[in-house]
Amino acid sequence: MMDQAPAFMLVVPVFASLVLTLIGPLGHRAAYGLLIIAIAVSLAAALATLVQVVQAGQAVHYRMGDWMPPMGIELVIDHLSAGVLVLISACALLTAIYSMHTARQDNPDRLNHYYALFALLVAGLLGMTATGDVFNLYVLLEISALSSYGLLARGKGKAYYATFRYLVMGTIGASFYLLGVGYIYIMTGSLNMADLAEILSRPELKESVNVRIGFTLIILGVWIKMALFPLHAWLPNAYSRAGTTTACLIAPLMTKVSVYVMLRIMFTVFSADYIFQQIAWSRLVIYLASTAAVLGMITALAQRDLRKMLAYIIVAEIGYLTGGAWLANTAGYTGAVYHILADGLMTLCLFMAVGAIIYRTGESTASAMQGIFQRMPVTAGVFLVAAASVVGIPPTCGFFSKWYLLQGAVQAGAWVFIAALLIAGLVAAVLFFKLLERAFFGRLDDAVTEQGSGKPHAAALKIRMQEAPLTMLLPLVFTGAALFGLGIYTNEVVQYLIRWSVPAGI
Amino acid sequence: MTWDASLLWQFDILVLLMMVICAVTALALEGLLSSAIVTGVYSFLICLMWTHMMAVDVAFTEAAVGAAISTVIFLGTAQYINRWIKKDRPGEQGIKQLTLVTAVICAVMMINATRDLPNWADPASPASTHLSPGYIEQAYHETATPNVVTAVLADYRSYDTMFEAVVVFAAALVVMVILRRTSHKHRKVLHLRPKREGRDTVLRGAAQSIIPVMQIFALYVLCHGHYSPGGGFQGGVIFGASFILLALCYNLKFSMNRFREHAVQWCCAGGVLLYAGIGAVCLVMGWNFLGYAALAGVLGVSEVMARSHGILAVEVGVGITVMAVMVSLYYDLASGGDLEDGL
Repeated sequence: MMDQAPAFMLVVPVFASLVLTLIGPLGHRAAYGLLIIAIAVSLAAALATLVQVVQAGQAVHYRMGDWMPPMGIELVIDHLSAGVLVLISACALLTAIYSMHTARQDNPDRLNHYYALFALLVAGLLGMTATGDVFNLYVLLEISALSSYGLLARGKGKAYYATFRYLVMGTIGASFYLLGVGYIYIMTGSLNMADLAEILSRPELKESVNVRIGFTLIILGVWIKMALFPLHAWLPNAYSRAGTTTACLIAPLMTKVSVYVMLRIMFTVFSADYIFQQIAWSRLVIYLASTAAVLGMITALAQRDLRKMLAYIIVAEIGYLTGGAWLANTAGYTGAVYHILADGLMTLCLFMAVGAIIYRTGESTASAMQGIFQRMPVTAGVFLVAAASVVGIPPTCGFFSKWYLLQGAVQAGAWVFIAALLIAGLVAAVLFFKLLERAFFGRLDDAVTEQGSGKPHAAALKIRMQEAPLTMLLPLVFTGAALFGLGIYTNEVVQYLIRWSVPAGI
Repeated sequence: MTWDASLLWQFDILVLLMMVICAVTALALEGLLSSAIVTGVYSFLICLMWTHMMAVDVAFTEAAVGAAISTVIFLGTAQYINRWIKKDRPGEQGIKQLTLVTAVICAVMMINATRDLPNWADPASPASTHLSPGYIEQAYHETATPNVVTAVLADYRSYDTMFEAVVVFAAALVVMVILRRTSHKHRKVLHLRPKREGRDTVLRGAAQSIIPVMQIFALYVLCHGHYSPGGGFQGGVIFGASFILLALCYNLKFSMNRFREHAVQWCCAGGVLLYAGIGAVCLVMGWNFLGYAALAGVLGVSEVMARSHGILAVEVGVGITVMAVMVSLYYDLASGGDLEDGL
């Protein structure tokens, strides 16, 4: 049973999605329950696999259809992917629980189809992370992309237009990836990652122009998918107009999984030696990443819409992650991998908190934060924790990822990246301070006092009771606690997971 | 059969040239309908290229999906949106020029790289020496399927194919989720809704004679995928196209009375369910997911034959899903999502 866990993890959400398509007549409660059960099974399987990987100290291989690897497709779950798999399924489960009220609000009709796409997206992301085959990765990339288009299009206002732009950009990104895989296949004749790594390390392919073009195309495609500056233009609009549940699901996961794919391609299929010796542009990436971090944060500061602000923070965080990966040393890599986990949780936490605030206040601009500490103390508290994590205050996990990234940057002598990290951190502090000041000291709206002119106290009390519903609050509090948890157990995470996955040669 | 790739190089040059012309024309035309038709021509030309490369399975799919169904879907969509591209706003010209420059740079880079590529149909190229010989030598002995493409597609890389079927299913789901949600009063776009009585004798006669043949051919393509080019995707598309033809020759209502929306939805999910279900049965029997050899015990045949049967079963699953998805996409797009009346 244990050795079938990888299959369960992937197949259960697919089955759930198929069944969900058909159970419209059973009503929304059945759909909600089925989705939660399916993703909980996935999470359990992912945890089981993680335990297996950590105990054995080596990757778990699962051969689909019982065919030997280069001929058939295998799933390879090593220390890196096991952690990301748990992150994906855990975030998805929390979002699924959270979605009880918001998903129904955003989808008055066809909730079961919405949930079917939800499950498909989770399956696609898990599959991208677990696979050991570059073409299979493309197929699952398409699944996650297609389902995210559907989910995002169910948003508000101009969501259709924003999603269409995302669709065009996403398709270009996926085509680049596929074209790159095509080039690599012509030169190697293989699609299996381990097999490719072996073939590509041969000296005759090191000089090949085609392999270089293939690598460049794949990385470009992945960069479009993960919205690295200056390819990020699609992200803020698409994410800020999405429904609340959609934003909570897609914002933390899609870009992080793309970063994971970048790490996979860079260090598993190719190698650090190859990239930093053969690829002429590899030294420039750190500047791109630094620009992304600084400009992302500054643009976030300029936004009035809360979720657009968070979307630009994602753009900045992608800069951190890319920079860490391209620093080409152990500390930078550790920081990047750790930050995938930390940023996934942070982003989830922020989007959930903002979602709860929007659900209660009905506003999505910064003025919704007015007096939120009195109205929704728990939500505001968790928001504070997530903000502290983005800024990088110990003991939240955001501090430790920055610590590793800075350490890596110092070792590599990448002063631009150090400056970018510090400036972005400072800007983030200003940004959240502005919001929290409003949330803490901001007076309750004048409307409140006017409304209850006879008994202002009663009206104020009534406002105070407006905490988010329990199904939203529980996942929110759990995620906030996880930010501390991950921070406190940083050593263990690095020691048992990340250190094992550090690629040779960096 | 021996094949000399250099024999017809003039043909390749001609087709490639025509493809470039088609691509540029499709971009330059101002009407969406004409663009859609030119894109269809483009697909047909690629289809010739695939045939020339002896990739008949791919050519088959391209003909059915790219040249036929995509064009119909484009046409169906174009009738509800503004068919004419607006004149460029100030500033857009600059972006277009920038895009052109980028595209030209990419093209130069890629053309530059072709010198390094192995020759067309070179038996010594990595793609022909690394894995392909293994597939060609072993596929028949291991799966009892003479068509190696089918064996690779539906057995060695069956996991990919399952998710490709899921991609097709997801496409239908996404279109459903987006189009069927808007309430009727917001439908300003539909005032040009085409209504047809479907009483044209010539069209009805043509439909009556073509559709049965088409459906039998689709089933043949589906079942004969083991022996010749074909399989679930191609067969499914052709079967789905027969319903679309029915809708085009009569009207949408007529087609929907024969293949109801509810049944379409069940088929969309049912095909993938069949595929994944077979995988799950293998898992329950103690093999890995999609290890068809596990079916030997259930079916009472040898492991090799079990793989062959497994391939057929999943191809049927793919066929059902693809067929239903094509119909579902057409229903949604032709009627603008309300499934009442349309193209």
